[in-house]
Amino acid sequence: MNYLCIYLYTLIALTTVGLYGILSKKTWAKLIISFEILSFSFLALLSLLIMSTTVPSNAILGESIIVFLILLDASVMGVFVASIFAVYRKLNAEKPEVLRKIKG
Amino acid sequence: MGMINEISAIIMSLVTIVIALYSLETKRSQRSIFAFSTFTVLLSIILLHAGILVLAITIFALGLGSILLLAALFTFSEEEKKKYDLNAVAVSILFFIVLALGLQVEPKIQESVALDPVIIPLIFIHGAFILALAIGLKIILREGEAK
Repeated sequence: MNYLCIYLYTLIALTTVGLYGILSKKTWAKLIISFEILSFSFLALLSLLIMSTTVPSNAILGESIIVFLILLDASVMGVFVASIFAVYRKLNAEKPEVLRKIKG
Repeated sequence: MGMINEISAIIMSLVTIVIALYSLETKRSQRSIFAFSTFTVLLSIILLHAGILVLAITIFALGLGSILLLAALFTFSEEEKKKYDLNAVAVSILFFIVLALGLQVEPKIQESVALDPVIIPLIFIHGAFILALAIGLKIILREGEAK
C-alpha cells in the first residue's frame, strides 16, 4: 500500500464526515461547513481516482468533470446562501428546523 | 523515503479527520471557523503531497473564500443543543463501508495526468464570486440591522 492509498481512504473518511454533518447539524453555518467538507473531499477523491487510470482519454474526461464540479459547487453555494438569506428574511428562520412551518 | 511518506501521510490524515470533526462538533463559532480554515490548509497540504498542485490551490482559494461566508452566516446562527445524532452516525458508517469497499484502486503518481494549469483563471473567478457573495451578504445584513 503506497501513501496515495492512505490518502484515498482519508478522503473517503472526510466525505463521510461531511455527510454526517449534513445529516445531523441543525444550524445554517454548520450545514455550510459540512457541505464544504463534502465537496472538497469529493473533488480531491475524484482527482485521486483519475490518478489511478492508465488511459489518457479517461484522465482528460476526469479533468473536465472536475472543472464542471468546481463550477457546480460555486453555483450551488450561491443558490444555497441566497436561499438561506431569503428564508431568514421571510420566516425569521434561525434554524433549518423552522422550515417545517412551510410544509403545509 | 517511502516509509517517511507513509508515516507523514498517516499523521496528516488523522489530524485532518480530527480537525474536520472538531469544526462540526465545537459549539463556539470562532473555534469552528478556525478549525475549518485549518482543515482547508491541511487538505491543501495533503493534495500537494499527493502531487495535485492545481487542485490544492483551488481548494485553498475556495476554503478561504468560504470563511467570509461563514463569518456572515454565524451572525444569525443559534447554538445547538443536541450533541450527537445516532442515525446520522449509522448512515455515515454505512456510506464509508460501501465507498471503501467499492473503491479498490491504487492511485499512482503520474505527471501526465496532473490537472491542467488552464484551470487557474477559473479558480480566481470562483474566488472573486465567493468574495462578492460574502460582501453582498454582509451589506444586506448591515442594512437589515439598520432598519
